[in-house]
Amino acid sequence: MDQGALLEVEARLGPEDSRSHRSFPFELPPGARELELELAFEPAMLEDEALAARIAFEAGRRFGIGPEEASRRAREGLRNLLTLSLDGPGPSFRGCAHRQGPRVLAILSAAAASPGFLPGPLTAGAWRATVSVHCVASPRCSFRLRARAR
Amino acid sequence: MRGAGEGLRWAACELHAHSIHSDGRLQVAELARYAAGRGLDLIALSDHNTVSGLAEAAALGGQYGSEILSAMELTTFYGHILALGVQDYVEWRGLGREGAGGAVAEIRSRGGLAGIAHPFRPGNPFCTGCFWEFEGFESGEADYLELWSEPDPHLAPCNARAFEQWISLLDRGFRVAATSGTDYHGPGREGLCATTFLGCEPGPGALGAAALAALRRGRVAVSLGARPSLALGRRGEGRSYGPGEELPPGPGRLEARAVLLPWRGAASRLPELRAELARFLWRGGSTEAGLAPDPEAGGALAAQVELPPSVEGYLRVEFRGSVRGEAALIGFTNPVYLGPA
Repeated sequence: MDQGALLEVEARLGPEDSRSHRSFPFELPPGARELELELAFEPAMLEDEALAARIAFEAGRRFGIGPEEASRRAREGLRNLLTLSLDGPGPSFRGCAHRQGPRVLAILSAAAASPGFLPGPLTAGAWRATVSVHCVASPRCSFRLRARAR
Repeated sequence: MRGAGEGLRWAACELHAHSIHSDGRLQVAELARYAAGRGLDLIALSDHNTVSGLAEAAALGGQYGSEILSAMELTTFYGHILALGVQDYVEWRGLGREGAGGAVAEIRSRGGLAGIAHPFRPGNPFCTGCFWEFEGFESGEADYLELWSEPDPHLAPCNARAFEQWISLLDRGFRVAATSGTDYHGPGREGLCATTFLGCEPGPGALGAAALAALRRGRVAVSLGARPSLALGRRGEGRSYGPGEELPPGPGRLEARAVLLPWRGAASRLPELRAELARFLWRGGSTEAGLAPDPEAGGALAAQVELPPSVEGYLRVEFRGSVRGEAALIGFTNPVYLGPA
């Protein structure tokens, strides 16, 4: 890990990991002015159109959606959704990035924070980054999570 | 008939909206401006699983003409729970399939109200966690159900399912409120947005607190256009009762009056909407009457009926007409409850 790196992990997920959390503790040293987290996952969505159509059709039956509507939704794309949340010592909640898109960058300091996150003291001690796996629609999805201090 | 809701200020509200703090496209201040443009008094900032926009919302106050109600949408794996009125983050990450009751209790202990968002919107993999799949929790135990979700809510089959569920809960004796929520994420979605009207006690305090109290009591009406109202009383008695109130037993014949009242946000919708009749519904029965211009209030449409003695449980009203030429439910009130005989 490079200088200032606090955490660097990679993981592989499948559809069976939908509705689960992966939690990663890390230690923030004293004196940090800025904490940066980055989550990237791929693919962003299920790219196999035939498989998407099949999954949408099956899911549609569960939710009372007809085949035409299911097919329309499959063409829009079945997305993977992984969100990133952060807790400081205490634990105290420091925010969450819950949005579409396969790359999340969060920067926190005492005075400012990226949207979704709460500014405040960067207290030294036990922090925790959590990847919430809301949905993996693709057969495989891998993510990389990094935290670093400045 | 006088009395029902008299002295209340009916606040026009949007109870479900997102900003850039989750997956919305507008800044918090832009959301406040958007709300003012719709003529709303109040908009809830209910970002997914975070409260980082609430400090800015509080700092804005009502400077754009609309106040922001603090909220969070617990976007869980098994359903989305709206926590209205909470100031701080509500933990959701430990919630399993049996966790709704605990979350609702936690939200209430923080002074908030817990609502079930879009209960039948298709869930994974279309909209993750959107379909309500919690177990061991009766929906009627929530503070409210978001019956009408997204623009053009009257057209969505999943909203019709939510409506049926609400009626079934009312028929079983639950007193759970029903709202709309556009689930607004930013410009770009076409369609009519419904408004939730909350009957707020006038007073010097913040509108948000009065709106929460109104929703807790069930003083609620929902509409695509003009504001629905309902008054229920007994002939020869002095007062009448509005949504969320309880009519005590008595000998007099029941009379009800339903009115659609103009408000500033409805003006732009007039060409699209046409209101024709009011249907009065109770447990196991209904009756209807055509709407006509109300001589007592300019621009309002009213219908008045006498009700049979068999009315029991509650009385609510649905306003029917058309939207862009197609027959539609265009608004409804929450029930006036009838006390045990």
